[in-house]
Amino acid sequence: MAVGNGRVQRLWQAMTIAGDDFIDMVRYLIIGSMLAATMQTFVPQSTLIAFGSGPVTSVIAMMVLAFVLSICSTVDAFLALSFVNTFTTGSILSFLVFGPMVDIKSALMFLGVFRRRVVLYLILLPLALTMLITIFINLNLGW
Amino acid sequence: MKQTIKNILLIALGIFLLSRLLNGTLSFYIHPRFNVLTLLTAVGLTALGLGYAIQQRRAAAHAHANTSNDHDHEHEHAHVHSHDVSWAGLFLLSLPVVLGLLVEPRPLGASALQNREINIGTDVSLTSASAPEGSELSIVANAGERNILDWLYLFQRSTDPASFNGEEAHVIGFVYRDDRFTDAQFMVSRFTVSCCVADAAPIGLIVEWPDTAVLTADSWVEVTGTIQARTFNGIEIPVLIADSVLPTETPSQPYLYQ
Repeated sequence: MAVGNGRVQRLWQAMTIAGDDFIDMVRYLIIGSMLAATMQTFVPQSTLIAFGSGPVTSVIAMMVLAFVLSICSTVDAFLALSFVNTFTTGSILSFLVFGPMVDIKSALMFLGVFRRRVVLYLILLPLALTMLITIFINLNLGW
Repeated sequence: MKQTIKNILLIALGIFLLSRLLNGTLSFYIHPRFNVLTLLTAVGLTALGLGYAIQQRRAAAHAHANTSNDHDHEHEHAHVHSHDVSWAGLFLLSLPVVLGLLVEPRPLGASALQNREINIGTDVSLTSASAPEGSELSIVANAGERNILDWLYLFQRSTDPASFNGEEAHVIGFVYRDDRFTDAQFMVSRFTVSCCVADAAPIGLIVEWPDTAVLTADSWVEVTGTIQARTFNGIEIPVLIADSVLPTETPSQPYLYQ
Protein backbone atom coordinates (compact mmCIF):
# COMPACT_ATOMS: atom_id res chain seq x y z
CA MET A 1 0.00 0.00 0.00
CA ALA A 2 1.30 3.44 -0.91
CA VAL A 3 0.79 5.10 2.44
CA GLY A 4 4.41 6.23 2.18
CA ASN A 5 7.86 5.20 3.15
CA GLY A 6 8.88 4.48 6.72
CA ARG A 7 9.75 7.95 7.85
CA VAL A 8 6.58 9.65 6.67
CA GLN A 9 4.52 6.87 8.14
CA ARG A 10 6.28 7.10 11.48
CA LEU A 11 5.87 10.84 11.59
CA TRP A 12 2.22 10.35 10.86
CA GLN A 13 1.93 7.76 13.58
CA ALA A 14 3.52 10.11 16.08
CA MET A 15 0.99 12.75 15.15
CA THR A 16 -2.03 10.51 15.49
CA ILE A 17 -0.82 9.27 18.84
CA ALA A 18 -0.39 12.86 19.98
CA GLY A 19 -3.88 13.61 18.68
CA ASP A 20 -5.40 10.62 20.45
CA ASP A 21 -3.70 11.62 23.68
CA PHE A 22 -4.92 15.17 23.25
CA ILE A 23 -8.49 14.00 22.89
CA ASP A 24 -8.11 11.67 25.85
CA MET A 25 -6.80 14.38 28.13
CA VAL A 26 -8.68 17.43 26.93
CA ARG A 27 -11.93 16.23 28.51
CA TYR A 28 -10.45 16.38 31.97
CA LEU A 29 -8.95 19.74 31.21
CA ILE A 30 -12.32 21.08 30.04
CA ILE A 31 -14.25 19.74 33.04
CA GLY A 32 -11.54 20.98 35.39
CA SER A 33 -11.44 24.43 33.86
CA MET A 34 -15.20 24.71 34.08
CA LEU A 35 -15.15 23.74 37.74
CA ALA A 36 -12.35 26.18 38.49
CA ALA A 37 -14.14 28.97 36.64
CA THR A 38 -17.36 28.24 38.55
CA MET A 39 -15.50 28.37 41.85
CA GLN A 40 -13.78 31.62 40.93
CA THR A 41 -17.06 33.18 39.90
CA PHE A 42 -19.27 32.09 42.78
CA VAL A 43 -16.93 31.75 45.75
CA PRO A 44 -15.70 35.21 46.77
CA GLN A 45 -12.12 35.25 47.99
CA SER A 46 -13.22 37.18 51.05
CA THR A 47 -15.29 34.25 52.38
CA LEU A 48 -12.25 32.02 52.31
CA ILE A 49 -10.11 34.70 53.86
CA ALA A 50 -12.68 35.34 56.55
CA PHE A 51 -12.61 31.65 57.36
CA GLY A 52 -9.30 31.72 59.08
CA SER A 53 -6.65 33.86 60.61
CA GLY A 54 -5.41 31.43 63.24
CA PRO A 55 -2.23 29.40 62.77
CA VAL A 56 -4.19 26.35 61.68
CA THR A 57 -7.28 27.77 60.04
CA SER A 58 -5.30 30.20 57.92
CA VAL A 59 -3.31 27.33 56.45
CA ILE A 60 -6.48 25.44 55.62
CA ALA A 61 -8.06 28.53 54.09
CA MET A 62 -5.06 29.24 51.88
CA MET A 63 -4.80 25.63 50.74
CA VAL A 64 -8.46 25.60 49.80
CA LEU A 65 -7.89 28.86 47.95
CA ALA A 66 -4.91 27.39 46.08
CA PHE A 67 -7.00 24.39 45.06
CA VAL A 68 -9.97 26.50 44.00
CA LEU A 69 -8.08 29.15 42.05
CA SER A 70 -6.05 26.68 39.97
CA ILE A 71 -3.74 29.41 38.71
CA CYS A 72 -0.39 28.57 37.20
CA SER A 73 2.67 28.30 39.38
CA THR A 74 4.50 31.09 37.56
CA VAL A 75 2.13 33.75 38.84
CA ASP A 76 0.79 32.46 42.13
CA ALA A 77 3.57 34.32 43.92
CA PHE A 78 2.08 37.63 42.76
CA LEU A 79 -1.25 36.66 44.21
CA ALA A 80 0.30 35.37 47.40
CA LEU A 81 2.03 38.72 47.88
CA SER A 82 -1.30 40.45 48.16
CA PHE A 83 -2.10 38.23 51.16
CA VAL A 84 1.22 38.74 52.92
CA ASN A 85 0.00 41.49 55.22
CA THR A 86 -3.21 39.80 56.25
CA PHE A 87 -2.15 36.17 56.48
CA THR A 88 0.29 34.08 58.47
CA THR A 89 3.61 33.17 56.89
CA GLY A 90 2.90 29.48 57.09
CA SER A 91 -0.37 29.85 55.21
CA ILE A 92 1.29 31.87 52.42
CA LEU A 93 3.90 29.13 52.18
CA SER A 94 1.21 26.47 52.03
CA PHE A 95 -0.46 28.37 49.19
CA LEU A 96 2.79 28.51 47.24
CA VAL A 97 3.77 24.91 47.89
CA PHE A 98 0.43 23.17 47.60
CA GLY A 99 -1.08 25.18 44.72
CA PRO A 100 1.30 24.09 41.95
CA MET A 101 1.11 20.44 43.00
CA VAL A 102 -2.64 20.02 43.33
CA ASP A 103 -5.47 21.82 41.64
CA ILE A 104 -8.84 20.90 40.16
CA LYS A 105 -7.62 20.46 36.59
CA SER A 106 -4.60 18.32 37.38
CA ALA A 107 -6.54 16.20 39.87
CA LEU A 108 -9.08 15.35 37.18
CA MET A 109 -6.39 14.68 34.60
CA PHE A 110 -4.61 12.36 37.03
CA LEU A 111 -7.88 10.47 37.46
CA GLY A 112 -7.96 9.88 33.73
CA VAL A 113 -4.57 8.19 33.69
CA PHE A 114 -3.77 6.69 37.07
CA ARG A 115 -5.67 4.39 39.33
CA ARG A 116 -7.87 6.04 41.90
CA ARG A 117 -5.66 5.06 44.80
CA VAL A 118 -2.61 6.60 43.15
CA VAL A 119 -4.46 9.86 42.59
CA LEU A 120 -5.60 9.83 46.19
CA TYR A 121 -1.97 9.58 47.33
CA LEU A 122 -0.94 12.27 44.88
CA ILE A 123 -3.41 14.61 46.53
CA LEU A 124 -3.30 13.48 50.14
CA LEU A 125 0.47 13.32 50.55
CA PRO A 126 1.15 16.90 49.46
CA LEU A 127 -1.88 17.96 51.46
CA ALA A 128 -0.80 16.31 54.67
CA LEU A 129 2.88 17.21 54.40
CA THR A 130 2.29 20.83 53.41
CA MET A 131 -0.24 21.23 56.18
CA LEU A 132 1.99 19.70 58.83
CA ILE A 133 5.07 21.68 57.91
CA THR A 134 3.37 25.03 57.45
CA ILE A 135 1.37 24.68 60.66
CA PHE A 136 4.61 23.76 62.41
CA ILE A 137 6.16 26.94 61.02
CA ASN A 138 3.22 28.99 62.20
CA LEU A 139 3.32 27.58 65.71
CA ASN A 140 7.01 27.31 66.34
CA LEU A 141 8.84 29.80 64.21
CA GLY A 142 8.05 33.42 64.67
CA TRP A 143 8.45 34.42 61.03
CA MET B 1 -19.88 8.70 12.30
CA LYS B 2 -18.13 9.45 15.59
CA GLN B 3 -14.83 9.62 13.78
CA THR B 4 -16.21 12.18 11.38
CA ILE B 5 -17.62 14.30 14.20
CA LYS B 6 -14.29 14.10 15.99
CA ASN B 7 -12.48 15.35 12.88
CA ILE B 8 -14.95 18.18 12.40
CA LEU B 9 -14.64 19.19 16.05
CA LEU B 10 -10.86 19.28 15.89
CA ILE B 11 -10.91 21.46 12.80
CA ALA B 12 -13.63 23.66 14.31
CA LEU B 13 -11.58 24.10 17.48
CA GLY B 14 -8.58 25.12 15.38
CA ILE B 15 -10.58 27.63 13.37
CA PHE B 16 -12.26 28.94 16.51
CA LEU B 17 -8.92 29.62 18.19
CA LEU B 18 -7.61 31.25 15.04
CA SER B 19 -10.65 33.54 14.77
CA ARG B 20 -10.30 34.59 18.42
CA LEU B 21 -6.66 35.34 17.78
CA LEU B 22 -7.38 37.34 14.64
CA ASN B 23 -10.21 39.48 16.00
CA GLY B 24 -8.26 40.21 19.19
CA THR B 25 -10.78 38.80 21.66
CA LEU B 26 -8.23 36.19 22.71
CA SER B 27 -6.65 38.89 24.86
CA PHE B 28 -9.85 38.96 26.95
CA TYR B 29 -8.78 35.57 28.26
CA ILE B 30 -5.03 35.14 28.13
CA HIS B 31 -1.87 37.21 28.08
CA PRO B 32 -0.75 38.23 24.57
CA ARG B 33 2.55 36.42 25.01
CA PHE B 34 0.62 33.21 24.32
CA ASN B 35 -0.48 34.41 20.90
CA VAL B 36 2.21 32.51 19.00
CA LEU B 37 1.49 29.34 20.93
CA THR B 38 -2.21 29.73 20.22
CA LEU B 39 -1.48 30.10 16.53
CA LEU B 40 0.58 26.91 16.59
CA THR B 41 -2.21 25.13 18.46
CA ALA B 42 -4.79 26.25 15.92
CA VAL B 43 -2.63 25.04 13.03
CA GLY B 44 -1.89 21.77 14.79
CA LEU B 45 -5.52 21.02 15.60
CA THR B 46 -6.66 21.77 12.07
CA ALA B 47 -3.88 19.63 10.60
CA LEU B 48 -4.76 16.81 12.97
CA GLY B 49 -8.45 16.93 12.05
CA LEU B 50 -7.64 16.92 8.34
CA GLY B 51 -5.05 14.19 8.83
CA TYR B 52 -7.51 11.92 10.60
CA ALA B 53 -10.01 12.48 7.83
CA ILE B 54 -7.50 11.56 5.13
CA GLN B 55 -6.37 8.50 7.04
CA GLN B 56 -9.96 7.38 7.52
CA ARG B 57 -10.75 7.75 3.86
CA ARG B 58 -7.62 5.84 2.90
CA ALA B 59 -8.43 3.04 5.28
CA ALA B 60 -11.95 2.83 3.91
CA ALA B 61 -10.72 2.77 0.30
CA HIS B 62 -8.18 0.20 1.29
CA ALA B 63 -10.79 -2.03 2.86
CA HIS B 64 -12.84 -1.95 -0.32
CA ALA B 65 -10.09 -2.46 -2.84
CA ASN B 66 -7.57 -4.66 -1.18
CA THR B 67 -7.77 -8.24 -0.13
CA SER B 68 -4.32 -9.48 -1.06
CA ASN B 69 -2.32 -7.57 1.56
CA ASP B 70 -4.25 -8.58 4.60
CA HIS B 71 -1.67 -7.90 7.24
CA ASP B 72 -1.16 -4.28 6.26
CA HIS B 73 -4.87 -3.74 6.00
CA GLU B 74 -5.67 -5.08 9.41
CA HIS B 75 -2.95 -3.08 11.02
CA GLU B 76 -4.24 0.16 9.64
CA HIS B 77 -7.84 -0.68 10.26
CA ALA B 78 -7.13 -1.55 13.84
CA HIS B 79 -5.31 1.70 14.37
CA VAL B 80 -8.07 3.92 13.09
CA HIS B 81 -10.53 2.45 15.54
CA SER B 82 -8.20 1.84 18.44
CA HIS B 83 -9.05 5.14 20.09
CA ASP B 84 -12.77 5.34 19.73
CA VAL B 85 -14.13 8.38 21.50
CA SER B 86 -17.34 8.18 23.47
CA TRP B 87 -20.28 10.47 22.84
CA ALA B 88 -19.60 12.09 26.19
CA GLY B 89 -16.03 12.76 25.11
CA LEU B 90 -17.23 14.33 21.88
CA PHE B 91 -19.72 16.47 23.78
CA LEU B 92 -16.97 17.78 26.04
CA LEU B 93 -14.70 18.40 23.08
CA SER B 94 -17.47 20.44 21.50
CA LEU B 95 -18.03 22.60 24.59
CA PRO B 96 -15.26 25.16 24.00
CA VAL B 97 -16.47 25.82 20.47
CA VAL B 98 -20.19 25.77 21.30
CA LEU B 99 -19.82 28.00 24.36
CA GLY B 100 -17.43 30.21 22.44
CA LEU B 101 -20.02 30.74 19.72
CA LEU B 102 -22.98 31.18 22.09
CA VAL B 103 -21.39 33.49 24.63
CA GLU B 104 -20.24 36.84 23.39
CA PRO B 105 -16.59 37.47 24.27
CA ARG B 106 -16.43 40.01 27.05
CA PRO B 107 -13.56 41.20 29.23
CA LEU B 108 -13.79 41.01 33.02
CA GLY B 109 -15.72 43.94 34.45
CA ALA B 110 -16.98 45.39 37.68
CA SER B 111 -19.05 42.27 38.41
CA ALA B 112 -15.89 40.19 38.72
CA LEU B 113 -14.60 42.73 41.20
CA GLN B 114 -17.00 41.70 43.92
CA ASN B 115 -15.11 38.44 44.31
CA ARG B 116 -11.70 40.00 44.64
CA GLU B 117 -9.91 42.50 46.75
CA ILE B 118 -9.32 45.71 44.89
CA ASN B 119 -5.89 47.24 44.97
CA ILE B 120 -5.46 50.91 45.55
CA GLY B 121 -1.77 50.94 46.06
CA THR B 122 -0.63 48.47 48.68
CA ASP B 123 0.34 45.55 46.54
CA VAL B 124 1.49 46.95 43.27
CA SER B 125 4.94 47.72 44.54
CA LEU B 126 5.38 44.21 45.79
CA THR B 127 4.41 42.79 42.46
CA SER B 128 6.56 45.21 40.57
CA ALA B 129 9.50 44.72 42.87
CA SER B 130 9.90 41.26 41.45
CA ALA B 131 9.73 42.55 37.88
CA PRO B 132 12.91 42.16 35.83
CA GLU B 133 15.69 44.72 35.94
CA GLY B 134 15.16 47.81 33.92
CA SER B 135 11.42 47.80 34.38
CA GLU B 136 11.80 51.14 36.06
CA LEU B 137 12.52 52.56 32.65
CA SER B 138 9.09 51.49 31.53
CA ILE B 139 7.49 54.14 33.71
CA VAL B 140 6.15 56.70 31.32
CA ALA B 141 7.81 60.04 31.85
CA ASN B 142 4.94 62.05 30.43
CA ALA B 143 2.32 62.34 33.18
CA GLY B 144 -0.56 62.55 30.72
CA GLU B 145 0.30 59.17 29.21
CA ARG B 146 0.53 57.19 32.42
CA ASN B 147 -2.10 54.55 32.95
CA ILE B 148 -3.59 53.48 36.28
CA LEU B 149 -0.90 50.88 36.90
CA ASP B 150 1.86 53.41 36.17
CA TRP B 151 0.42 55.81 38.72
CA LEU B 152 0.10 53.21 41.47
CA TYR B 153 3.55 51.90 40.70
CA LEU B 154 5.00 55.39 40.77
CA PHE B 155 3.43 56.15 44.12
CA GLN B 156 4.77 52.95 45.61
CA ARG B 157 8.29 53.58 44.44
CA SER B 158 8.37 57.22 45.36
CA THR B 159 9.72 58.44 48.69
CA ASP B 160 7.79 61.64 48.34
CA PRO B 161 4.42 61.00 46.67
CA ALA B 162 3.32 64.52 47.45
CA SER B 163 5.72 65.73 44.78
CA PHE B 164 3.25 64.47 42.18
CA ASN B 165 0.54 66.74 43.50
CA GLY B 166 -0.97 68.79 40.72
CA GLU B 167 0.40 66.67 37.89
CA GLU B 168 -2.05 66.18 35.12
CA ALA B 169 -3.43 62.69 34.64
CA HIS B 170 -5.43 61.11 31.89
CA VAL B 171 -6.55 57.53 32.42
CA ILE B 172 -9.06 55.08 31.02
CA GLY B 173 -10.86 52.44 33.06
CA PHE B 174 -14.24 51.15 34.07
CA VAL B 175 -16.40 52.64 36.81
CA TYR B 176 -16.55 50.81 40.10
CA ARG B 177 -18.46 51.92 43.19
CA ASP B 178 -19.45 50.32 46.47
CA ASP B 179 -20.62 51.40 49.91
CA ARG B 180 -17.21 52.66 50.90
CA PHE B 181 -17.37 55.53 48.45
CA THR B 182 -19.04 58.87 49.08
CA ASP B 183 -21.42 60.34 46.53
CA ALA B 184 -18.60 62.39 45.09
CA GLN B 185 -16.22 59.46 44.63
CA PHE B 186 -15.81 56.49 42.36
CA MET B 187 -13.00 54.28 41.28
CA VAL B 188 -11.63 54.11 37.77
CA SER B 189 -10.43 50.53 37.52
CA ARG B 190 -8.62 48.06 35.33
CA PHE B 191 -7.64 44.43 35.74
CA THR B 192 -4.02 43.42 35.56
CA VAL B 193 -3.29 40.03 34.07
CA SER B 194 -0.06 38.09 34.48
CA CYS B 195 -0.97 34.85 32.78
CA CYS B 196 -4.70 34.48 32.16
CA VAL B 197 -7.93 35.87 33.60
CA ALA B 198 -7.75 33.28 36.39
CA ASP B 199 -5.10 35.45 38.01
CA ALA B 200 -6.65 38.81 37.06
CA ALA B 201 -6.26 41.34 39.85
CA PRO B 202 -8.22 44.59 39.96
CA ILE B 203 -6.47 47.90 40.50
CA GLY B 204 -7.88 51.40 40.56
CA LEU B 205 -7.56 55.09 41.22
CA ILE B 206 -10.04 56.87 43.46
CA VAL B 207 -11.61 59.71 41.51
CA GLU B 208 -13.24 62.74 43.06
CA TRP B 209 -16.03 63.91 40.84
CA PRO B 210 -19.25 65.60 41.97
CA ASP B 211 -21.43 64.04 39.30
CA THR B 212 -21.07 60.34 40.07
CA ALA B 213 -24.84 59.85 39.96
CA VAL B 214 -24.82 59.98 36.15
CA LEU B 215 -22.17 57.25 35.87
CA THR B 216 -23.24 53.66 35.34
CA ALA B 217 -21.19 51.00 37.03
CA ASP B 218 -18.98 48.97 34.74
CA SER B 219 -19.09 51.54 31.94
CA TRP B 220 -15.77 52.67 30.49
CA VAL B 221 -14.73 56.24 31.11
CA GLU B 222 -11.89 58.54 30.24
CA VAL B 223 -10.90 60.64 33.25
CA THR B 224 -8.84 63.81 33.02
CA GLY B 225 -7.75 65.71 36.08
CA THR B 226 -4.94 66.31 38.53
CA ILE B 227 -3.26 63.93 40.94
CA GLN B 228 -3.38 64.52 44.67
CA ALA B 229 -1.62 62.35 47.25
CA ARG B 230 -3.87 61.27 50.13
CA THR B 231 -3.18 59.11 53.12
CA PHE B 232 -5.36 56.06 53.35
CA ASN B 233 -4.84 53.41 56.06
CA GLY B 234 -1.37 54.76 56.62
CA ILE B 235 -0.20 54.66 53.02
CA GLU B 236 -0.04 57.42 50.45
CA ILE B 237 -2.28 56.74 47.50
CA PRO B 238 -2.97 58.79 44.41
CA VAL B 239 -6.41 60.39 44.20
CA LEU B 240 -7.52 61.82 40.91
CA ILE B 241 -9.37 65.15 41.15
CA ALA B 242 -11.34 65.02 37.93
CA ASP B 243 -11.89 67.92 35.59
CA SER B 244 -13.83 65.81 33.16
CA VAL B 245 -15.22 62.29 33.04
CA LEU B 246 -16.24 61.21 29.57
CA PRO B 247 -17.79 57.92 28.49
CA THR B 248 -15.58 55.95 26.13
CA GLU B 249 -15.40 52.69 24.21
CA THR B 250 -14.01 49.54 25.80
CA PRO B 251 -10.34 49.54 24.82
CA SER B 252 -9.25 46.73 22.51
CA GLN B 253 -6.73 45.78 25.19
CA PRO B 254 -8.90 45.94 28.33
CA TYR B 255 -6.28 44.63 30.75
CA LEU B 256 -3.00 46.09 31.89
CA TYR B 257 0.11 43.95 31.98
CA GLN B 258 2.82 44.16 34.56
